[in-house]
Amino acid sequence: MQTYILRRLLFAVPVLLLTSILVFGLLHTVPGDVIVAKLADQGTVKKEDIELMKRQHRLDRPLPEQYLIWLGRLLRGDLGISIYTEEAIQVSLRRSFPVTLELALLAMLIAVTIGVPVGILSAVFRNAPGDYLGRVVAILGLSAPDFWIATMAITFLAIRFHWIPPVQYHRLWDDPTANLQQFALPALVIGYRLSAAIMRMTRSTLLEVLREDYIRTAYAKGLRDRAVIVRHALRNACLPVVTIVGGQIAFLLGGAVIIEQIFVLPGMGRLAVQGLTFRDYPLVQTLVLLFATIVVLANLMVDISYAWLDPRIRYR
Amino acid sequence: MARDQVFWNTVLQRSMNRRRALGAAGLLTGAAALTAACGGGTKKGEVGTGKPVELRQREATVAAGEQPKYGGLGKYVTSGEPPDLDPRLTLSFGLHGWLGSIMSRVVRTVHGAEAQGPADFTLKPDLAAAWEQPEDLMSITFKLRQGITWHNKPPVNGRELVAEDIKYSFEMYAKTGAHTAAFELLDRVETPDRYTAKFVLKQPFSGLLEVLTVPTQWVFAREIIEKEGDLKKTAIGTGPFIQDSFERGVGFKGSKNSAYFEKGLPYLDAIELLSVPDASTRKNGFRTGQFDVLSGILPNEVDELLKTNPNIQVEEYPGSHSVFGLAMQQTRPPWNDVRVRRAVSMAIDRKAQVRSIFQDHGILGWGIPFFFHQENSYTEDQLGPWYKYNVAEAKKLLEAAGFKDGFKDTITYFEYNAAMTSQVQLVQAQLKANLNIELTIKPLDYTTWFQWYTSHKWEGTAWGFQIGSSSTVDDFCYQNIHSKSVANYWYISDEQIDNLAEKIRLEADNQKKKVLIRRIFERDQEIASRLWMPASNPIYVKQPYLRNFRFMYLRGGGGADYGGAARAQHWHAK
Repeated sequence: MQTYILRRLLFAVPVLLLTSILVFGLLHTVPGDVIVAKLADQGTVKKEDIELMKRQHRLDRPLPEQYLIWLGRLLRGDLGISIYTEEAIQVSLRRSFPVTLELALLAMLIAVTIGVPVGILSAVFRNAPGDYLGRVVAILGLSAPDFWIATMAITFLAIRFHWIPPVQYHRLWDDPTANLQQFALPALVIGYRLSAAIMRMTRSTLLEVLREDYIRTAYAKGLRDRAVIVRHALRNACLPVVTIVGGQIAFLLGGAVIIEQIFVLPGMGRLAVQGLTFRDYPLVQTLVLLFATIVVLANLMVDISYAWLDPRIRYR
Repeated sequence: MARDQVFWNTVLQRSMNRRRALGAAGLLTGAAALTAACGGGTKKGEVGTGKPVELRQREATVAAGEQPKYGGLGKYVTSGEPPDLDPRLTLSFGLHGWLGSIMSRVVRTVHGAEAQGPADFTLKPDLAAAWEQPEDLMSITFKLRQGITWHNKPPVNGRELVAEDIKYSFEMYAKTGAHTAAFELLDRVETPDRYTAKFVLKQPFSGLLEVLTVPTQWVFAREIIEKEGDLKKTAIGTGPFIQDSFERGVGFKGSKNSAYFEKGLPYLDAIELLSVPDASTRKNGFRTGQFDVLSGILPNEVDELLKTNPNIQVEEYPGSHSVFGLAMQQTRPPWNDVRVRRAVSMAIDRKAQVRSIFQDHGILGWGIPFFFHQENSYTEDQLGPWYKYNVAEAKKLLEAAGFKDGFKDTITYFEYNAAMTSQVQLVQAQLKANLNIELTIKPLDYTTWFQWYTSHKWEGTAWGFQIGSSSTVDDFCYQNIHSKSVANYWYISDEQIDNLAEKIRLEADNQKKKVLIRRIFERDQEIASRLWMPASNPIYVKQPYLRNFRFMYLRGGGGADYGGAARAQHWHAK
């Protein structure tokens, strides 16, 4: 297993390198310029100011040289400085990542808590009214975009109850109550949407597993329903669900861009939007590389969990 | 006193001593009390369609007999966030709307209950107690108040503000950064003694005093630059509030400066300015009492808010000018032909835009604020023949210019506000239907748009803008329009306009200056070099308990605007 993990990590290096080259190239082909964007706030853009700032940030160098400068810094553990805010990217990440992590974990908790039990019940009581209800709720969750659900939820609460989550961010360790008030609704919105996919996947894989011979054998041995479903069927039905959950965690850690905007959460999504809006090259490059790393690691974790869930799987 | 007279008699006054300042303050207090007593109710106002509609005016700036109360937290909201805290490097309202509460100017204009109306630009001492400008317009000498101290924070540590601070700040503004255009005529600042600062100009300029009142011209402390190299991370001033924190993605927090030089102010114990990018969240935040004031909303949104919050105060005034208009690449055909520009202007139904997009609460569009030279908003006739919707005449003009069958071009824009896309689409549809001019719409993202538009090399047409921080006669009548100005993105190159712009800079006489501004306005309309588009009236909604907030043209009132200094006078009636 250790060899397998090491090999996967080694394979990740060229993947990440290629990703960084691709992002660097694409970002520089998009029109617009971070220096002009920064100077835009001045109302007047002077050519000499642009040239000076380009020199200061080494944007006057050839593109391959700029890439190597950035990569060299990265290898030395220096994530660089945002051109737009002139803040160290490390500082921006230290501030934004905990916000996104908290949102992702809460949303996943809600998604799994709703999705897995409802999926199981839906499969076990197939074609019963509860199954139909669960499927309708899931289809709604899959088809309604979360920004729409969020806007509707926030507007409904404001008009009906004169309350919306606090718009001012409070850290969990500074003010846990205010923090949870602020995170509950966005986590619920994202969690509901994700639970729909988990519920559908749990239901369909469980239905498939429940038709297997070994399940029939388990029933024939006189095992109770709960034992058959939880100990024999669910564990085997979990593999595709774990794949979905792993992918969703990776997706959420990249930042729930629109939800963070709507609920005023200063997370990775807002940071990425700011970086892309102002063509903040070092910030976007670092963020994309970080997202890619998260995806690679999440996939690795999913693969490792397969071996734990299914004893037939062995990695060499 | 008529609003335009207030503006000119004050902004252009060339000398003011302490006694006159006190006298003016006394008069203003009386006027403010009168205004306050008359507050509330609704007022008829002229709007773009020419049809009088009820301006939404449910105002209680200060109700009669009310005494200011101390204490409370002022909660404000903005959509923007500044790149950093250095006032030299940006004109972003996200920064200067905050710095107004933290820092001070040499001289300011009235706000809150001091003002007689939104176009009242009466001068008030800020750091300077009195000032004098000689007839030759080559300098202004300021006598500073004594005993003003910086906020008691390192590295300045509450030392006294002196004339050297003024010299350091303004010579630096003139040298580098966002203010170089505003201070291009400043030669040096002399400090004959500890409390006297003399601004010496390279050539006569009548607008310097007005430029110094702009709420972006803050005096800063040299110690910060000497220690940190710039002002990007530290904001220390002499203003009514002391900055406690700035957190990216969250906003600013500040607390009362007990040593503020305006005795008795501020009323609030603390303030915060939160950064909320989503318009719907800002609206719902106001609805649920998380903010004291909300700006940048449309009339129908006011109606929505009144349904759930019937006690809120509403302030609306006729728009002073348009920021946006149709810009054309007029150095080349077909746009270099004035007949084409006039035809296009006449084929656009501006009234329809005001009616359908702004529910009649808007103006038809013009570029020079009306109160620079007259009391009331422009009438449709004043806008000239090319601003009247007249398709038959437009067709004749286009035919005479040799484009009988129309032509094809592009219209490029960035959606600065929700109404803009509708406006662009209406213009596109009307030009196609009326003149067979096919404009392909090219929406861009902000960064691409800004680089493209400010390159001075763009093609076709654009939804062009005047620089957003424009707030002085010089901004409107020189910086945005003179052929040699870096902020003239419109390709305007007109000898008459250049001559008028230069004369305005030299004119010290109020009445003569008004005539020159009127002429530049008329010339701008006549040559149709910028086809101004309708704009919404400024509308603010305020919580029922907020007092002494008043919208001021070109300055804001302390909401999401440049009026941060006015927060010193806000108080809560609860």
